[in-house]
Amino acid sequence: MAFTTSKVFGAFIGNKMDGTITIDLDGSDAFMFALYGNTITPNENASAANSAYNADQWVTGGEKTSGADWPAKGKQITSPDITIGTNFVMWDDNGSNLASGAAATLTDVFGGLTFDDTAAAPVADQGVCFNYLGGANSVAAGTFNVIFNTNGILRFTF
Amino acid sequence: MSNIHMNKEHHWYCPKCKGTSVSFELEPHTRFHDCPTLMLNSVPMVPLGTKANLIVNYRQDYLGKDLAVTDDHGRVVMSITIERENGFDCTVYCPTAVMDSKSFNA
Repeated sequence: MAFTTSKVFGAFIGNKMDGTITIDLDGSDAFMFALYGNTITPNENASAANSAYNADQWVTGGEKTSGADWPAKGKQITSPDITIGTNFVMWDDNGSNLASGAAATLTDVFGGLTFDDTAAAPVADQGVCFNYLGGANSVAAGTFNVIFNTNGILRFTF
Repeated sequence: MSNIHMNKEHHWYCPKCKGTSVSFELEPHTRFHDCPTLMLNSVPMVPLGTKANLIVNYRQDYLGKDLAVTDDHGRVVMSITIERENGFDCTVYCPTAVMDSKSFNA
């Protein structure tokens, strides 16, 4: 199995709708983007507990880090924003992308987990979505930049 | 008394189109530009004077319903690697996770 696609966690949507979670997607909550290799099999149907950072597929054994340049738990999405348009709702970073320090070394990065680093219930660090980068990406003694798509980190269409 | 901001001036160039740019930021950063040669937005530049080679890496897998960056030939661009003498940088273009109403997590 492997990291092969991008998905939104169903538990996040359900918990948001029934009030179990009080995540503010464009307000005060801090959202992190952590990097992972290809030894994991992300599951959009995972429970809230299993969607969280350092749980189930997202344990730190599969995470990619590089000291202070790209630490454990990843980098914070600094300007999360909700856009409501015609037949879509989009959550994006408002154009502010992520960058490591200048001396990062990361090998075979395949994707990332976006999680809430603020809310504590129903579980701390609950996952919002995971994004597959399309293959192996590496950096050596350099900068690792993540540019989110203009269609958002996640997007609902209807 | 007025405050004087002494922002450092950074000069950049694109190894592909040879375009240049200047930025004025104190924090370490990468300059990006819309590259006319690659026909791509947000292409990283390198500090002027740095010997570098720019490599476009295309997606190695089925795209599915993810929304991703493509070049003018419709190929999905996964990332750009900047090779330098003493290392290499990587800029990944993170696709969008799409959920639609017709099928849960399209």
